[in-house]
Amino acid sequence: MMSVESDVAIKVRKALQIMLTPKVRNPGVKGWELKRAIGKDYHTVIQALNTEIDKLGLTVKIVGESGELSPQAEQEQLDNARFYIIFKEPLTTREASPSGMSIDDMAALAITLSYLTSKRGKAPAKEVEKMLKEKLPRWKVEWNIRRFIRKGYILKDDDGNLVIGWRSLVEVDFKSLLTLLLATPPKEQEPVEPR
Amino acid sequence: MPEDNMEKVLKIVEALRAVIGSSSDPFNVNVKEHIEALRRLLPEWKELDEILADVEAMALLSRIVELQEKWVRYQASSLYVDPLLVELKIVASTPERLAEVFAGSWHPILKIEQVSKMELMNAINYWNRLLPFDKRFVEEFGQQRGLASFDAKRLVEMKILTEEELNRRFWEVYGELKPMLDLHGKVDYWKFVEGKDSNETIARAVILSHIVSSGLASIEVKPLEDNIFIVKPKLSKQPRSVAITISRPDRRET
Repeated sequence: MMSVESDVAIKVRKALQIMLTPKVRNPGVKGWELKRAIGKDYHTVIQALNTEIDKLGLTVKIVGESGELSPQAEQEQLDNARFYIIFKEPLTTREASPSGMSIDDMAALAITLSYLTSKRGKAPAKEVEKMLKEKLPRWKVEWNIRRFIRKGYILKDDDGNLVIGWRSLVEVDFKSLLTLLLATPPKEQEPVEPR
Repeated sequence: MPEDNMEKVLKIVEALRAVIGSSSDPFNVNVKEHIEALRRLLPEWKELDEILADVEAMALLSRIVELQEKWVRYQASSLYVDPLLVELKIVASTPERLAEVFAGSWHPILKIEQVSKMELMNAINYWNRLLPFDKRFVEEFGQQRGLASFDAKRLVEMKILTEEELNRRFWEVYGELKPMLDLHGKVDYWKFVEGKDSNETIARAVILSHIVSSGLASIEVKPLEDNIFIVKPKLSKQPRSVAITISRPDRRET
């Protein structure tokens, strides 16, 4: 007969497999999918998985309609939430570069998300574009916005507003984003060339 | 209800929609004042449209109250920061610093991008079942058809022309072409055959081919310039056939 420990270990491996397997559209997995695959007690399995992957610098993030949820949230909320495995610690720009995002792309995303956060998550696309044009060439602004929408970092609603997207809600720690931005020292004045 | 009262309600609806649609401060809306205005107008509503306008205004006002509550909650949260301050910080920061800000708050999602054994088996099965390209769409679109040619007989069969009409149209089109050739010496083929619809274009092209075959005009093809002209008959030259394809009757395509 299988021991409780080995049963949990099998379920943890199964949960990890399901969560990391590529999906047709967005990454992560719904709570009800985990329930179907590993049983009703899937939230207990997820907590065990979290303990295991914590050693590797990873963590499980649960995102529901109202934002991040804890594994102790109500069963119904968890069933409808999406479960992701994310990096526990943030990266440096050097570590983030191989992900395919250049310094300019990351700067554009910082501008877009911090601006949207300060406007309670939504702002007219024209306003965001104006802010981005402060730092980036015009062609790159439009290109970046299209790319961020495609990747799910932002959404565009029917009224022409940009809204914070599902990927940002999963991957970005907005409190850190704003704290780091506000802690930015004023730009050093560039030396003026004598005429 | 008098027109100006209806206008007042519509103005309220419009103003409320503008606030809801933007990210502006919902406290800019004076909810109490709008409710008072709607209350004063309420006894005058008689038509269904007027009542519906009133209902819409009230629904939008309740949405504004909801937004005001969210606004207060947000301002009390740790994420609240003055938008102006954020703008100033963005303007004052270098792209390198902004990239650091993003990287410092970024926790990427982990996922595997690797083909599994099951996916590989699915792909092999799919490939083995896949029909050759030329047979793939036969069911939906039928056998692919090549280009077809029209002659006068076919046009008569298609009821685009009758035999009597063909003769009449022949001289009609020639009567149109001759003065143009006399005046300019040559006429652009596509401009000439273009009719008011696809049937007309095909009919004119076929009639013109009869005119050319009868020796009343000639065709000059300039392949390098991608131009085709109708010119006066060139009797000295050896006659030869020129194929002009009309793929989309309303659009030139050679």
